Amino acid sequence: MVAKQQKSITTTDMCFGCGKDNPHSLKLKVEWDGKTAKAKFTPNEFHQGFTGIVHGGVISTIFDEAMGQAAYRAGIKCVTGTMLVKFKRPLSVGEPVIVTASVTKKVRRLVEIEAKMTLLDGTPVAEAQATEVIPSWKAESEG
Amino acid sequence: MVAEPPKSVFYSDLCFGCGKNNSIGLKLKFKWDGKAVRTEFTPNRLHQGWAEVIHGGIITAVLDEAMAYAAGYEGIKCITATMQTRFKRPLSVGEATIVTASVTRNARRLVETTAKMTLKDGTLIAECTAKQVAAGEAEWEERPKKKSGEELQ
Repeated sequence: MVAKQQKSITTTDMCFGCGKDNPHSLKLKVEWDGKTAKAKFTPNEFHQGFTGIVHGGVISTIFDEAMGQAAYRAGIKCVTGTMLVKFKRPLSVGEPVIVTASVTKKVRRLVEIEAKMTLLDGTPVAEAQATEVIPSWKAESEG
Repeated sequence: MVAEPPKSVFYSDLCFGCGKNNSIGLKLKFKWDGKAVRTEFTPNRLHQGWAEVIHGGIITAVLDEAMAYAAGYEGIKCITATMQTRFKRPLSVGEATIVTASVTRNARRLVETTAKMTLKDGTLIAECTAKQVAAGEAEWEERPKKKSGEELQ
């Protein structure tokens, strides 16, 4: 579990997942229907690991971002404690995917979140489960 | 588990983790001591999630890359099938880390790997275990250089 440090938890436009001012960011735009965060993403050549195949770390980043945003939209600011990612099928550069994420459980400071990624036709690409923590160092500055 | 791992995969200079021609990549360079790979990584402002806190996805990507390299040095090119990361302490922008990874089990097509990230004083930031599926041998000429201590390009 995540320990201490840091005094506040605030959003930034420099976020690697969604930051509009971060030139390297994935610029994930999440839609929220009140329950589920949903985003469409098309990986490009800068997101590959082996030639033509999207890096597992980039897929994990999309999941972490989508799950963080699902919690945030549900009014919870948390940091990832553990994240399990299961890859179902290699994703190729240029293949558009839909990622969805939603909070499944919240007990005190622990938040459980699930996410999945599919091709547009519904073919599963990967899924993720995370236990996130509302940090004890959180609080104060909202934003 | 990955349903249909590719029969062969190829290293790329555009790899997000290590590609020297990837302008947004992490440009990790690993050293191999015969058992484990090691690299140093200092995240910058472009790697944030929450303000000043490094994105969990970036940490995961560093660990995933390190584990792939550990398998590569053992002669196996792998695709990650499942990966579990445990975050122990938030990492701040500018904090230098040391990342190590190794293969813990190599059973034909299934390879298990582990990795961890610490601060320079040994404080644990995150650790990870993964199951990987072999997608071909790492050919000698394209395999990460075998010699102990040599850096990869």
